Amino acid sequence: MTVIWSGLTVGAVYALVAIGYNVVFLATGAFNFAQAALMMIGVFVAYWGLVTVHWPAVAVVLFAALVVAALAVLEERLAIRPVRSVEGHLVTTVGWATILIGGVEVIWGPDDRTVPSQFGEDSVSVFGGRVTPNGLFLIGLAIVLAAAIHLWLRRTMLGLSCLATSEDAEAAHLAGVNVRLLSILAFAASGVIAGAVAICVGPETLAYQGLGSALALKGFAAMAVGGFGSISGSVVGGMACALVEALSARYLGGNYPDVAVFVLLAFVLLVKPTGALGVTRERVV
Amino acid sequence: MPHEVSAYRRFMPSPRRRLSAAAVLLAAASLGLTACGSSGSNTAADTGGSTNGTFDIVDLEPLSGPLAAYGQAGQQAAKAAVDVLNKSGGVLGQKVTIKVVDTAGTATQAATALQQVLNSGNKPDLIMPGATGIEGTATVPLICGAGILSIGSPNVTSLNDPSKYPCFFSTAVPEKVPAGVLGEYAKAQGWSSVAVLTATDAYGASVASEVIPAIKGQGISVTAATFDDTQNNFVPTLQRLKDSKAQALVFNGQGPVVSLILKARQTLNWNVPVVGDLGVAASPAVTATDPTSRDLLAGVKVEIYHEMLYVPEAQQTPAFKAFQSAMLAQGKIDKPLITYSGHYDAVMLAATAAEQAKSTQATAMEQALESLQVPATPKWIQLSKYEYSADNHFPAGSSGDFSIVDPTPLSNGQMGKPAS
Repeated sequence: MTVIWSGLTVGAVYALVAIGYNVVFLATGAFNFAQAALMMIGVFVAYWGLVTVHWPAVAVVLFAALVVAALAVLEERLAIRPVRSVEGHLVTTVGWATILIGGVEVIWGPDDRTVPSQFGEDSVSVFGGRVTPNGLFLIGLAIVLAAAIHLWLRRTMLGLSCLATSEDAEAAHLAGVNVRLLSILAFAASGVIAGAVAICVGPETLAYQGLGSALALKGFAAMAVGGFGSISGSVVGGMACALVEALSARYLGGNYPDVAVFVLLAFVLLVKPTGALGVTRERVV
Repeated sequence: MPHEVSAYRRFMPSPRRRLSAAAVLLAAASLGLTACGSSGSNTAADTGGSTNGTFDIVDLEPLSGPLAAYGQAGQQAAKAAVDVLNKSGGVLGQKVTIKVVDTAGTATQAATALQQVLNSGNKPDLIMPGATGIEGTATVPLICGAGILSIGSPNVTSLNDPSKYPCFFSTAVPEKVPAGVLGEYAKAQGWSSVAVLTATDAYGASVASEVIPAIKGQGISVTAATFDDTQNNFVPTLQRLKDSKAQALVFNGQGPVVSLILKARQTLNWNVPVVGDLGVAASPAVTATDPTSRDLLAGVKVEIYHEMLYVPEAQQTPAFKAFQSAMLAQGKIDKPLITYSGHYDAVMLAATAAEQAKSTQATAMEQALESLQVPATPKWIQLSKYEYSADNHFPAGSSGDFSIVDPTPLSNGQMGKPAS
């Protein structure tokens, strides 16, 4: 059961990255490869706030959310808006991620940092397996956040505007949706999510400059397995990828986790190309 | 003249022209083959190093990327060694110069950067091949092909092959010696079963190939597992080892994975004694000072080079004092000494070899290293002596060069300074 808990904890981190990917994808159709790097920035800001300047947790959460949201909005202005094509977005967002990683190295140097948990460092026994209180909180946070965003997308005007834009941006624009403002808000929201959760992600991942790269691909795999554009699929995909990783490490050995995730991804894409909870859309022409 | 004939004459030159063209082609081909032959050979030629009256060093380091901490430390140490040499008259009266080149810690970048150095026309006297085995395996063949001496810290067994790489001498003791120390320590602790966790990269494989037999050779059973550096979750891997009921854990690793492994151990509440290898001792995790990091080190010991153990100033050797003074003039010494010492010693070994050979020719320095006479006051600091031979270009080392200690915050790179 400990292996399952560890998989679910890491899966929650993957899910949060995938949620960030999907929020931007739904509103703009763009894939933001820098989302994981934005989360890395949030983790470093959380470390700085907690360990260097000893701020209370609430202040650290708010400050990290603000900083990362600002960087995300700047990314939208510099790396997304001037570029029209999806292929171009892939290149510019990878470039933005590279800038963020370089910035971390300049500011904090190359050493890794331990981010203290807000719930204590000792693990507890739950259903016969050991898990940290921070890990339990992270799992719950990912599920609650995904549920909240899922409901918001379907029950609010702004959320429905996002879904409309993701389906047909031109039609949404003609219907009066401010597509440009929606894009800015989506990036800001993804930045707020990445920054706010960083205080819980950091204790599980450490703060180190390779974190962005480590999470980017796994977050993408989570998104692909769960379904592009599906917020609830982000959680399903994240948990599935991390559990497969954990179980293969436990029972097969250290050479197999990445292979196992790749096999899962290939299987899902072969059986259901839109992902586990992705939806195939039809248009009447 | 008929059209066909004039066309023939346009495309088929006269016999005299054909002979001249053939001669030119033959000469060009000969030159090309000669160049290929000399650059493809792994035998160091007596081509010597720089010809501008200085002893030139090129230091390949990972100044960027995930290994940047190690590269920047290596750069500082190499420059400190150059300063110490120049203050005492240089090498054979020649001023020592150093150029540091970034490899980004990858084999591709290291080879590309080295090729640019080799193509620049200024042949150095010494090339330090990178901080890690990843860089060393890419650069050492090229350096030896160019006939230049290479000394450095890459500790990969495959590079200890003087027949293939006659130019390369390592400052790192072969893994067999520190592995033997780990085995003896496990025996002394009375452990009957030990878990061994190593990385799947070249260094981890090298450690596993020596540590596991060394521990088994003491009559101790071993359960082994591996991890990939890209793993984000180490709990399952440690659970696998915990289930073996091992009485202790020995592990290797560098950088963030060390903290992640120790955190996973804490999550599992697996309180067996832990011993980290030389790579672990050089990681930020074991020398951090914040309470969260120190909590992870309960029950953890690390294996270190003996020179990393704190010695009061009054008992320091002249070489160590010169090292420390030069390092502090460059900047702080805020990493474990092992991060610096191999690079510092590489420069000092080259200088000593040149002095004993009375020459800066690559072959002469190589031969001097193979029969190195230890001076009364050696300039190096990492080992008490470096013993190479024609068959072995890694220092022999001895168990006395290593200690297994509690990790403490560093004091100028050393562990174990008593709290004031």
